[in-house]
Amino acid sequence: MNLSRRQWLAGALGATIAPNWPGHAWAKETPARITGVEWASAETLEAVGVSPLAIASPYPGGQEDMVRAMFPRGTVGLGSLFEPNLELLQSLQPDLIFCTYWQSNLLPSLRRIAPTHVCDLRGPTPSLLGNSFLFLREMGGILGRQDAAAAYAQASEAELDVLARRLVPFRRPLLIGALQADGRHILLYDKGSLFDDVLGRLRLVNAWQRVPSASGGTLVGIETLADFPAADLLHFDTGAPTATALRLLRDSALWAALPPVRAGRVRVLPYAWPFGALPTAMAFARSVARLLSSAIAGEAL
Amino acid sequence: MARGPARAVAAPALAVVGVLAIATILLAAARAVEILPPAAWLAALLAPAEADPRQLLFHYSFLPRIVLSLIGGAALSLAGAVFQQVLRNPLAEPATLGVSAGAQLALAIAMLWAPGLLGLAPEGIALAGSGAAMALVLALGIGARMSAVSLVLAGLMVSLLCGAIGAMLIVLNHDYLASLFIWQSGSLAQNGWAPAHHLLVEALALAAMCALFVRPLELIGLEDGGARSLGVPVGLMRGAMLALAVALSAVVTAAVGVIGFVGLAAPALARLLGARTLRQRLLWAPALGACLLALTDQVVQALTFLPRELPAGAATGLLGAPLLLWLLPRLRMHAPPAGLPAPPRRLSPPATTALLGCGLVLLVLMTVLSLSFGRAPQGWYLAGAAELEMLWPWRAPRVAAALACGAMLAAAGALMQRLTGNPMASPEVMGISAGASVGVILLMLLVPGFDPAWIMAAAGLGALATLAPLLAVSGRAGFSPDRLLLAGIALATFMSAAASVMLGIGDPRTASLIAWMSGSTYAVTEEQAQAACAVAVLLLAAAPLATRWLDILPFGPSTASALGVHVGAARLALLLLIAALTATATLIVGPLSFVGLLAPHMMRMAGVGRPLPHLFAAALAGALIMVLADWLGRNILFPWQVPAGLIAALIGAPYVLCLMRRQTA
Repeated sequence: MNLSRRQWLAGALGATIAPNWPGHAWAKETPARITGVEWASAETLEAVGVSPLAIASPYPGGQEDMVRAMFPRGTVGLGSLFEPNLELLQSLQPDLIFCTYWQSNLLPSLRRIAPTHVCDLRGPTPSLLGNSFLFLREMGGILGRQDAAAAYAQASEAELDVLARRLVPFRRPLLIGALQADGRHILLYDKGSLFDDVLGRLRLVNAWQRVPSASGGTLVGIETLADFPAADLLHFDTGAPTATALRLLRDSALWAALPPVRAGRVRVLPYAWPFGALPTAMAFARSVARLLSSAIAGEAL
Repeated sequence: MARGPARAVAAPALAVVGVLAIATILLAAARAVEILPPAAWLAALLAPAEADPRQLLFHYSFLPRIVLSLIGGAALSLAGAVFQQVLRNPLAEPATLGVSAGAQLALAIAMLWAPGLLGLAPEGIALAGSGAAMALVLALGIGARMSAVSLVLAGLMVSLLCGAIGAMLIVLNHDYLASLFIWQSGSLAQNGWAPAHHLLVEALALAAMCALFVRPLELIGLEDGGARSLGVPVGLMRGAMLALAVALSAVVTAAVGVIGFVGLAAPALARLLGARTLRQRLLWAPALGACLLALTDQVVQALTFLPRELPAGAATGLLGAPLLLWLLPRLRMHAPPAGLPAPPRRLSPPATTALLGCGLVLLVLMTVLSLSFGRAPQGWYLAGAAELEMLWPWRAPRVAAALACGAMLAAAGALMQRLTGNPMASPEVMGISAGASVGVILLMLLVPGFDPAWIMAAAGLGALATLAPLLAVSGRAGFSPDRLLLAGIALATFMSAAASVMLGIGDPRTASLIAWMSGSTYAVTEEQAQAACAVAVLLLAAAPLATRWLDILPFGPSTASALGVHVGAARLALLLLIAALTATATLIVGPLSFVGLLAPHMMRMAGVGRPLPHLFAAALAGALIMVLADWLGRNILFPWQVPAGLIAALIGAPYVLCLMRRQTA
């Protein structure tokens, strides 16, 4: 049964099509073929100096351009983070695949293509930031790039110390969040998120101290911000949803009367993917430091 | 109206409204005291101090929210009562007629591609969306002289279509995920008086117009012939009143999102409390609806132990379903839904066999194509033998699963439609697929390191947990079709509400579930595909054993028992067969919600009338649709994948709508 099917297909179609198969073209060229099927590993790969062969992106929308800019042009897109295109992945014939803990349902399929390493930033320590450092070193060990990893880690530690010192004059608590497009809700990041760890490392206080959620963020109504009169609000620019939200909030009397808004202590951060690794954390730290430094400078005048 | 009936309804209805209102006031007062001391309430109401966030919260958040819940509840109930009167169907409400879905879709599209317009006139956009949905439903109904069944069926199709497009938007735009789910769940949180003001004005205007038309509305409740002979332009009046009800629900959707069940529960409760005439219902349903929604919203806010606030729309779904199940035995339905609409033509047995044969050939061709033809970065290509061997482990399970599950769901749908005599019946209606999905979501959220094999067990448990109350509730009434459908709808709504709440948390693990719930074949393993095929063959082979029942049951229970069929046992057996087919398909590829409705309907329109050929034809059609949909889903947006169930809905619904239009024209 099997043989006759193959014979029939080969006879009918094989000759014209074989040269078009992508596998042929790619097989012999590059030495180490690593792919990150999700974001944290992909950017960590870039940090240790190994450009991933292919990445899966969180979003198809405008955000994709911004994040794809981090990677060289030849990097193949695998589609959605949640359903990466496995046929395409196999055709690229990678040597090693990195995935993440919440892609565990993909593991059997990924293992069939290439050895797979699971990245889980929830352990071994309680701090996501600390774990991202550990993951960086671990990746350096796997790829034989310990020096590059150590150098990046040291540079990051040093930079975080510098930023923390620069932010010493800033005394107020912070709220980190993302405005939702309906103009009535905001997603606030709590103890379970990478952003909270970064704030802690910079010796800043996260005003949102609710029970940490599994995803690191809690969705609340805008009116909750009234409970934090002394805090500064830093919210991410997610593109169209943020623009819509700001437009809707412009007409809201409650928003205008909220203490942080009235005092002009609301600032916009460039977008950061909440489930990223060390490079995301560093970019976030730099943005926060930049915004708050100008705040400090403004108040000093 | 005579004194007697009016007094008979006033006392119990007033009592219930009073109890609900008192409960609402108590909860609201408790919350108000937390925000501000009672002495400051009056000042905060009239002129809140700018500098005090507490007073601002009281004035701009707490109060508008209460007002909005009252008006929204009243408006939705009024719309529901009008729908039920016009359509003579106690199941009609904004959600079941596709109106809420149309409004929500329009708002979602505006948010993604015209955010400026959304900020300017959300009610206008919602009205446009629900107007378009209702216009589509009406266009289909005009051909059938606005008969009740065809309208509700068309409404269901349109609702599914809008839901499918909306789900597609969610899948492709993960960063809008949380916002879209808020709207799906109907959160009433406010931060200003503007929405409440707008809604009050609009709702009052529309209610006033309803009041003007009470007389003709009453007459429409009679048979069409009777009403027409009394001088009422039936078609025109129905259209006008439907438009009014649509506008009411559209403005509520624009303000707060989709809140279901209130439009169904409040009129039902009013009828239960004795409101027999239309005027009584139009008076008491809004009152009950206002109190119900207000109380629900207060209860939801009082649940402070939850990590995030439960949106009122999800709560109405969660609370409304048990309420409906409780109401079910007490509900008297004066006009049972009409039977299956007659097909335009009937095929002779040779023609039917020819059709089945062609279908089989087509299926084989499609399967081969799906396995070998596809897309790569350089473009389209047809795979050769060697490549096929490499691609086989990726494509074969998906194609096989799509085939098997499409066939199973279509067969289940055909059986359901024949069992209940109701063209709206489908496996999704029974709520089993939704229950299975809830089981899987719970597994993913509660169990940290689960083995993927446990998913099947979780889905199976969820399906059983839905089937048990379904059998229990409808069993008491001897599995009559009406009870079954209502119970199924109640359970399906409950499970969908639970699912949408859990998915709205924003956990990335659940994001991958959304694709599964839309009918994605992505995660199917080889073992699962083999199991699906085996079960499909087994169950479909068992179906011909029920031929006699399928032939006889549609004649009605008395005729059937006279012919020697034990009606209760036959219905139970068919129900279990349907459940097995549905549960297996859902376990493999998620709660595909359309093939079970679409395929049997298509085959009936094509003229395959007799039960057994219809069953197999539907199974073939279902398999064909799913294989095609799976192929399209893998290749349209390469390397992105669109779930097969969504594609099936997007292709199928317009096709069925065209068929319905052509049939009745």
